[in-house]
Amino acid sequence: MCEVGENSRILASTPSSTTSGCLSNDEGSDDRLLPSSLAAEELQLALNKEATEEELLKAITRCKDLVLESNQCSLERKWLVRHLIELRLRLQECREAMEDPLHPRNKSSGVSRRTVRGHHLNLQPLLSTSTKYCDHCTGTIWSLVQAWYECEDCGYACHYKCISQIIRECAHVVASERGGYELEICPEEGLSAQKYLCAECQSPLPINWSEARKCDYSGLYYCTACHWGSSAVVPARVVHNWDLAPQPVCQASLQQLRVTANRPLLNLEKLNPRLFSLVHELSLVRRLRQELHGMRKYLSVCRNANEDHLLWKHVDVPHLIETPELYSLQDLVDTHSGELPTKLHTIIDVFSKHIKVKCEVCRGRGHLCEICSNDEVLFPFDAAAVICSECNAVLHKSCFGRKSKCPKCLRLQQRKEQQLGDQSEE
Amino acid sequence: MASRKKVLLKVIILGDSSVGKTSLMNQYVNRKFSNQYKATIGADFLTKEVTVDDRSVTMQIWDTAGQERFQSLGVAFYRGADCCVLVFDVTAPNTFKSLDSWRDEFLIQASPREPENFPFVLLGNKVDLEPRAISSKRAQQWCQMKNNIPYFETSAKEGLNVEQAFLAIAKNALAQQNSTVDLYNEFPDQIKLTNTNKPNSNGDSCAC
Repeated sequence: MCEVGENSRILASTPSSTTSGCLSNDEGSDDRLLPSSLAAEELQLALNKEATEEELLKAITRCKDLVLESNQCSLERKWLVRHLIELRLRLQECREAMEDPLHPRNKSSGVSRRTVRGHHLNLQPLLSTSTKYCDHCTGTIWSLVQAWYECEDCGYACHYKCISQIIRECAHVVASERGGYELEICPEEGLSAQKYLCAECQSPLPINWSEARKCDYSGLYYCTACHWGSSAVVPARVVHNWDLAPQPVCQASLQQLRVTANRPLLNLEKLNPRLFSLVHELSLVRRLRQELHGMRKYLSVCRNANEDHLLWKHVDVPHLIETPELYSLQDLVDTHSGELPTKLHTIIDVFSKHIKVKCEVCRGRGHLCEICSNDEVLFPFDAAAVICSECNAVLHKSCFGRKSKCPKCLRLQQRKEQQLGDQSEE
Repeated sequence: MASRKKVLLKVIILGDSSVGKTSLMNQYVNRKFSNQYKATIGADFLTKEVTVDDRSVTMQIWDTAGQERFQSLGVAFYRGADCCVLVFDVTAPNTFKSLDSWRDEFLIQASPREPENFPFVLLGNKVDLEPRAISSKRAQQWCQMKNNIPYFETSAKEGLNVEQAFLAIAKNALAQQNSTVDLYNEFPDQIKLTNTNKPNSNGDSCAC
């Protein structure tokens, strides 16, 4: 093939010698950076991912054209020629690897991205300083010398050599398919129910009880390779007992709990409404979130607030005000620590300042109590306000308490009766 | 005196949904008309500088939602209004029938000091359309019953009579404001008395 022949010819000459004849000695370290004039070119992409033969061929043609267009001895041309060489090398690699699955390039760091059991594994840079353990074989990942991968969705880390044997599904996929938490506290059935096998890797568990480790979240037993004795806050214990003490869990559960920590999956009103009366901080958070939910109605229809992006500038977790009945596990942990109430108070201050002080439109959209006819502008989210369930009128709680019926409802009813009377007269 | 100060007139436009409240306001303020219908949410206002009787005044025109579903947002902006514009569609009889309830609602929520003398202006909009359902005579009769409310037949689409109508609105609003200002200045103590009376009188009208 002429393509290969050309390729090997270029390979024979090193990249620097290709261009050093033209350029003066500016072989600085930033030589390999893309010149800004070419930054927009897509050919750069072909190097950043696992490109197919077709993509590489296309990139090579494009690169060739660009070389011809560029000025002699320019920085662009130097970079383009280098790029062309790299592209051709990769094409060669790609072709060889396709013909022979056992090709060394196929096994080593040449593959930057793998998808296994739902994990999106990315090749990690060498020289990482932190000590990591392989989620598959539990051995240390010697990141200085061993190629290793990490899942960008769930954080699963493993050696390159372990990729093909991965057993655990990506926690992100599992959590998304399941859509909720196990809400029974440690649903244990016992070793006999799982035939004395590890619930994950199915390896036999020794009869010596201390070696079979129980996961407090799934209630199953695991071997030491699948249960490292890590601990996590278990949702079922929080929902039923307001028990936020971390419990020992297996690695699979740990990763699932981590992935879902910020997802609003718990409807406490349905799961355990009595919790609100027993836990003071929780009822405070509920009240604050309802207040924010009421304010959201004003801000989302206010042109001034929309111009300033007021709503989302201050709220990093949308569910806090969009669906006030749903809680994430992290919300509950933060409620317990007092962090969430503080945060909500800050947001409320900003919002209420806009609605009640700064914005004339929002102020105009407030209510006046019809019973006392006071000049004070009332808002449905105010603590002192009560909303008529029938006509949506907003009144002072204290005023409404003195009357038996909402005056607006009475008026609407009378008007209806009068209209009916008029019609029958006609 | 207050007359030297910059005068702000607050005008409220009320009426059933799709009678053309927003269109009238846009035609008057921006001289623009769009055939597309977009429901107003809650309420919003535009301002326009006008000269009335050689005085420069700023009109703050509050456009409101006619649709029931947007009325859970409050109407605190009724309070302190200087004039209320009632709008109906001359081709839709139901929009004329509900004028009474719009007027009543406004008086209750705004609770002006003298409800019977508060300036209203009635606009019969969409006169460019056929067939007409409410004759100009019938509308004028209604106006006479309500203490001679000024009546204009307008077309927001053609820009017909819009300028004249809003000029009348501005004049009425200014007259209303002047009368209040004079009262406040001459009898500051009496105002307090009427203010304390107001809730009672209002409570009566509620209970009726």
